[in-house]
Amino acid sequence: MEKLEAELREKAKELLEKEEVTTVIGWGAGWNPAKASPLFVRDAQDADKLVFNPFCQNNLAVYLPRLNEKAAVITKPCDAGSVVALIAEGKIDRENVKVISIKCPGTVNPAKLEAAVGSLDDATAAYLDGDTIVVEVGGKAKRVPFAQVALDSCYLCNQENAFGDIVIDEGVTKVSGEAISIVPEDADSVWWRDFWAKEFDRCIRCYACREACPACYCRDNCAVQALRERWTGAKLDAKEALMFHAQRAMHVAGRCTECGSCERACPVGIPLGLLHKQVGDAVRKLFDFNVGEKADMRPPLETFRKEELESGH
Amino acid sequence: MVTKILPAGNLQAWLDSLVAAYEVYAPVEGDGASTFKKINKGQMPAMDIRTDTPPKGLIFKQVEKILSFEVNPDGITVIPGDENGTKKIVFGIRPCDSRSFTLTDKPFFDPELPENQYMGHRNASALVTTACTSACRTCFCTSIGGAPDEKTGDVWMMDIDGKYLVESLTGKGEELIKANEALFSDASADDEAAAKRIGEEVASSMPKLNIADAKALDGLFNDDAFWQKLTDKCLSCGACTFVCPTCYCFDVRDEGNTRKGERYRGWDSCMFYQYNRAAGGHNPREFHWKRMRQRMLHKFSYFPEKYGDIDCVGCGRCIRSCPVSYDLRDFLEGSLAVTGAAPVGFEKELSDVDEKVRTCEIKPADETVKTGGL
Repeated sequence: MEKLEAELREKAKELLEKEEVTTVIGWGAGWNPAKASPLFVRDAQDADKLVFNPFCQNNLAVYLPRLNEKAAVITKPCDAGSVVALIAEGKIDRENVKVISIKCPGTVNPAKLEAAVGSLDDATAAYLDGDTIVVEVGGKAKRVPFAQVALDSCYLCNQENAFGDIVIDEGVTKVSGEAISIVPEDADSVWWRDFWAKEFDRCIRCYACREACPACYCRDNCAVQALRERWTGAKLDAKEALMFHAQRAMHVAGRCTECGSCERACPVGIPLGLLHKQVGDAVRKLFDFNVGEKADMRPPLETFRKEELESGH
Repeated sequence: MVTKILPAGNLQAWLDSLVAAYEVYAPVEGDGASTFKKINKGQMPAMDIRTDTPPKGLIFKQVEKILSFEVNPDGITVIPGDENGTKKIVFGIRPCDSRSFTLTDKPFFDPELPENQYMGHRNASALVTTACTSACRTCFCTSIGGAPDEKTGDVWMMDIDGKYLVESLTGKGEELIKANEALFSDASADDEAAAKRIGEEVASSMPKLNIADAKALDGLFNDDAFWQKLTDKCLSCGACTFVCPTCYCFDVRDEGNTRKGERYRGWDSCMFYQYNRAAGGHNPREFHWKRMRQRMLHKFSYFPEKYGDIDCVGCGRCIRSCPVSYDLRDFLEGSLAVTGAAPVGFEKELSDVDEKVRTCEIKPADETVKTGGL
C-alpha cells in the first residue's frame, strides 16, 4: 500500500508540474483518521498530502460533472465504473479529465467498524496492518479483521475493470469475506415494506445520499425539490421519504455502481446500499448489463433494443 | 435558586416522576443514529452519549402545520396549526445544545415579528442540562464562548463521581426539583468545588481556537479564491445544516388547492440551490462555495453583528456528519490567517433575550378573515 501511495503522489506531482491539469482530486487525511477526506491538490508540493487506504471511501467521480478546469481524478475500480457511466451519458468533458486508476483492497464500512470497536469519533489513529484494521482510541489499539468490516459490495466487487488514462498497477490484496445480510431469506414485499418504513422514518431529507452520488448529477434540478411539480409532500414521514428514495433508486437503476457512497454519507445511518443492490440485481438479471463496463453503451433504462419490443419485455 | 445532590440511584425515580407529569425527551440510542426521543416510565436515557441529531426539532419542529384554511361563503376560515402548548422536558441536553435555544430565541422572539409556533413550544419546555465530563475530538464549545459546564437551561446538573450536583437556574427549573424534594439531599461546598474542578479539567483538555471578529470576516466576502479553495470538496448537501442545533432557516409550503389546504413550515437549508433561487430564476448563490460562504458568514459575522453572539455552539456535529469531512475549524483557522484580525475571544456571558419578550403571549389567530372577494 505504501508503494501505491508513493506512486500516486509521484504521478500527481508530474501532472501538476507539467501543467497537464490544474488540480488532482484524491484523498487526504481527514479530521478523523478513520475517515479520509477528498483532497484537491493544486500545487505539486502538496502532492505528498495524498493518501490511499481502506478509509478512502468517497467516490470522487462525483466532482467531475461540475468541474470547469482540467483535472485528474484518482479512482478505485467502482469510482472508475462511475466515470465510465458518466462518459456514456455525456456528462464528462472527456478532454478535461484524466483518470488515474488504482487497485483497491476494499473499503471499510464505518458502521460495521463502529459496531466492532466502538465509536470512531475519538480515534487517534486507524490503519490497515496486514489483514487487520487497527483503530487507536485513548492510547489503546483495537484490532478487527478487515474481512469482517469491509463494505458488503466489496466482497462482491463487480468493478474489476482497469479503466483509466493512467493505470497504477501496484497490486494490493483484495479483501474477501462474506456479507452478513440482515435480510431474511424469505423476505417478501411485506417484510421490505415494514423494513423501509422503519428505516426511512428517521430520514431527515438532507439529501446527502444524493449529493454524494456520482450518478445523481441533476443536483440543483432534482425532481423532488422542483419548485413547480411537487413530487414529494411537505410532511416529514416515512412515506414521503420513501417517495424520494424509491424515485432516486429508479433514476440510478442501471447507472449505480453500488460504490456505497450514499450509505456512508447518510448522517442517520440508513442502509441505502440494500436498496441499490436490490435494484442493481434486477437490472443485471433483466438486461444482462453491468454498469461501468462500456463507455459507448447507454444505460438500459434509458434506451431499448428492438429485440425487447419483439420479445414483449 | 437551589443547589442539591441527587444520588445516581435516585435518577430513575426523579425521571419517573417527571414522566408522570410531563412529556420527557432524552437521549436514546437508535438504529443508525442516536437522538432525543420521548421516554417512558422506568426507561433510563443514554446519559453518556452525544446524540447524532440535535434536540432542535423538539422545539423548532422539522415540519409543522402552521395553519389550515378553507374557503366558505363568508370568507376564509383559518384554523391555527398543531397544538403547541404540551408541557415537555428536554432531559440530559448538553450545554452546547441548551445554549443553541438561547441563540435561536433571538430571531424567533423578535418583539415585532415573533415566531408564534416556536415561541409556544419554547415556553412550554424546560431544559435539564447535563454538563459534559469529557470532550470529543470534534468539540470546540470553549472557542465560541461556551463551556463544557456552562450553566444554561432551566436545571443544570453534573455527574460528580456517582452522584449528580443539580442546580435550578430558573423558576421553572426550581419547580422540577421542589416537586421531588425527597430524592435530593443538600449539596456541600466540596461538591460544588468538585464540579468546578471537573469543568475546568474538561475545558483545558479542549484546544481553543481564536476566531476573527465579525467585521473582519465580513471583509472576506469578496475573496472568491478563499471560499473556492475552502469548499473545493463540499457537496452542497444539507447534512451540516440539519444536524446543526443553531441553523434555523425554514421554508413555508402550502398543500391543497385554492379552496382548502394546509400550510406547513419546515426546515430549509442554505446549502440547497433551491433555497437561494429567486422568483424569475435568478440565483445569487448559484455555486456551492457561495452557499457555504453564506453559512459560515451568517454564523460568524452577520448573526454576531446583529445579536451579539456567534450562532454556533461548537458541538461539532457538522464535522462528524459531513460526508466529505469538511471541518468547520479549517474555516475558523483559515479565515483568521487571512484576515489577521484580532481575535475576539467571546468571553462575555451569553446575552439573554429580553425577559419581556420571552414571556409575551401568543396571540390567537383570528378565526375568520373576511376577504369579501374570493
